[in-house]
Amino acid sequence: MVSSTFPLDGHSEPVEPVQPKAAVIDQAASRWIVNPAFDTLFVFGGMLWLLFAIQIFFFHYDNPDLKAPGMAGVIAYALSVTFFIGNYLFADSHTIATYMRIYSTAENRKRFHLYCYVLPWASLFLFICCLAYPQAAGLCVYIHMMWVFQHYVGQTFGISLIYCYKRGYFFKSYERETYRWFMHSLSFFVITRILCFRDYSPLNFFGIRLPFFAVPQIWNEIAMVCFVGMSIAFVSVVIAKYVREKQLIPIPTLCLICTILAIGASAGFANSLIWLYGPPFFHGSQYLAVSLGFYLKEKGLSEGRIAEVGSHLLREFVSPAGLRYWGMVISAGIALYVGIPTVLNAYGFEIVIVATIIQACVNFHHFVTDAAVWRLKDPISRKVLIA
Amino acid sequence: MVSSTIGGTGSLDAPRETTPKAAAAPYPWIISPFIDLAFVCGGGVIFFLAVNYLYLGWRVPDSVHNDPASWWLMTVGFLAQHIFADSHNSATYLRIWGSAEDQARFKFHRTWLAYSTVPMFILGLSVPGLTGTFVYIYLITVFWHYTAQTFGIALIYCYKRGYIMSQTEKEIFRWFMFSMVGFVSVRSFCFKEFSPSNFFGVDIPFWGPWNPVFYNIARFLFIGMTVAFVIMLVRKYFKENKIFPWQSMMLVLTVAGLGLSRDMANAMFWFFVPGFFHGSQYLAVCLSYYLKERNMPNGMNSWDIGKIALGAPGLKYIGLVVLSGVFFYVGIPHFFMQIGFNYSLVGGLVLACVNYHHFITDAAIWRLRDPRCRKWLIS
Repeated sequence: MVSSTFPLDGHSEPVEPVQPKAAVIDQAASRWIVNPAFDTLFVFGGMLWLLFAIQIFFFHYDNPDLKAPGMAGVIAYALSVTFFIGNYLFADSHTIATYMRIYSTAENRKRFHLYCYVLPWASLFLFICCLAYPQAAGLCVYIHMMWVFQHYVGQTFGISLIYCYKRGYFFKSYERETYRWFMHSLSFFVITRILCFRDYSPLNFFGIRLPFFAVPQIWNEIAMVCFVGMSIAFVSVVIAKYVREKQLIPIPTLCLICTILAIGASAGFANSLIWLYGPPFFHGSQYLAVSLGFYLKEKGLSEGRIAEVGSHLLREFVSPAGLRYWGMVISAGIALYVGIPTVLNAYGFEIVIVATIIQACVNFHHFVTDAAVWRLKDPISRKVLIA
Repeated sequence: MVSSTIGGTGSLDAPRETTPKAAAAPYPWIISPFIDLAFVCGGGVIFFLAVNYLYLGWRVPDSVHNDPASWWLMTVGFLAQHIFADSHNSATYLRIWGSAEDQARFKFHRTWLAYSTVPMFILGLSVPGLTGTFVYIYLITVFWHYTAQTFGIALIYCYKRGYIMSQTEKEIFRWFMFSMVGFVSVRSFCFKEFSPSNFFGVDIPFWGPWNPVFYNIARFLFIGMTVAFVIMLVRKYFKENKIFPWQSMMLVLTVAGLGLSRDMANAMFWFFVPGFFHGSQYLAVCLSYYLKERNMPNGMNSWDIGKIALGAPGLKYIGLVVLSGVFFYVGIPHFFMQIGFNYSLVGGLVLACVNYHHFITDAAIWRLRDPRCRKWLIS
């Protein structure tokens, strides 16, 4: 998401405002994407850490026991229900939000013709290959496992930039590049860790046997050096900016960075736990907050009420247009990740395996499309995203 | 559907009385000849029953792994279930949440009636055995619902093709259909073998057996009404030189096949009818209504109507209802299964709750007596 972070041509254009800064700040009717409470819980990681803390508090580093006596059993059940609701509301549905963006208007369909009409066929072809050849499924899921972290990092970077712009924290070109490459270096480190170490690369993922590329460890060591170097550079930029311009990096941006660092750096049970609650309550929820906000503000822009929509976004989320959007993405998410596996189950395919393959194939399309549709460089996208 | 057929006050005004004679003749199909034949009148059911019989004999396909014919028929069954049967309930919602006028008119159905399904659902989840009762009530009423819809659509074809019935003739037709429903329903109360004991994993109670005298009365009435209906058709032919439209006849025969067939033939009918007859005809009528409401020109030729129905607006409509159907019948049971409930039980409960709302709402929204509704349904 917000692919000025990852331009396809590799050339990183600075996201200089096309209008004077004052005008941009003026447009930013809200300092939040939705509102303080919603953002804290669902955009920069509050809910993820809350659930993480509850689980650790009650069950330590162990799986919750639904049959535990007393409060622990109730909490285990509540966590389980929350997780499943989160998956339906945010995780499964967030990929559909991409389709709502590209298929929403005739202009978008024309603009994103490749992503609307060509690439979905590639995903379908891949899906059929994965069903027919278990090795292909393993490879797809293995690649997906690495790519997904880069996708999380990219989205986190984009949303953190939105907070910076909303709060008048403007990066100079080299500062932004430092930030960008700090995030890239994190992806590089985590991906090479999966490629180099068997411990970080599961043998079996939801019933699918995964390959292991066994890349020489030197690559991970190089990645580690890059990451440490870029971390120092980024911290220096933030401190220098504070000293020179008396500007502090926005708290939401900092929370986003800390959360993604924790996802990347954690290991063992803590990592599993973060990957349990992270997809719905960090990545999916933030994506939906931004994309539903975009959808409603884009409508508001055409109706000349973008400022009103932007400043009352939570109210707009439950307006008829907002509810229609929720209905569409949730239903389509269920159709994709539950309906199709359930039908294919009758043909002898395991539900979990099919759902995992679908996730990988759909996400390949989602990752590529995301990189094209959310561009802060595009004036209209920027205006709507930052409003 | 088309509840003037079962309207409380009885009188159904023929369109002739309100439509100027000079007006252009109504479009003779609901969507187009092929779609109507296959998906409205029962052609699809007859075709697949024939294929089923030719390849599997008197046996319902039960697994895709048995043989190629079962594979194909099950696949067709799955597709029909998701595209037509599960989704047709959602078409009702698109109607009552459609135009601002409909939203205002059907406020009760959108609000209180819809809310009442929530306590029903909670009761079904929490009181053991209640889901079976709800599903039993659904099973008792579902044939009535199918027949009422068939009657309504048969009337639409009659009006579209100038086969205008007098009040008496219409009442004979209506009571012939009712008597069939009565016969089938009473039979299920009198004989245990006509009442399923298990519906896709949900145990069903049996509110019987009633005294067989009720069965004999129902049978007598049904035979009597059948004779009256046939006499009415023959008389109309000789007196007015008008033949009952074959589309209406196909509709009546298909629903009669569903109600009157027995044993494996009945199971085969129930395998194909929800998708290729009831659900598909409902969607065809709703889609036609939806498109006409959005200014599809009156009198447009069948090819153009078919093109629009299969173009972006039609596909968007179908997409919406299919997704909503998957949400209700796959998503909700799956969610409750994950938090510890029985998938079949929740599936049955959703079926009962959704259809309770659907049956009542349907009886209110499709009224041929309503001039606006008649305009879109018959034009």
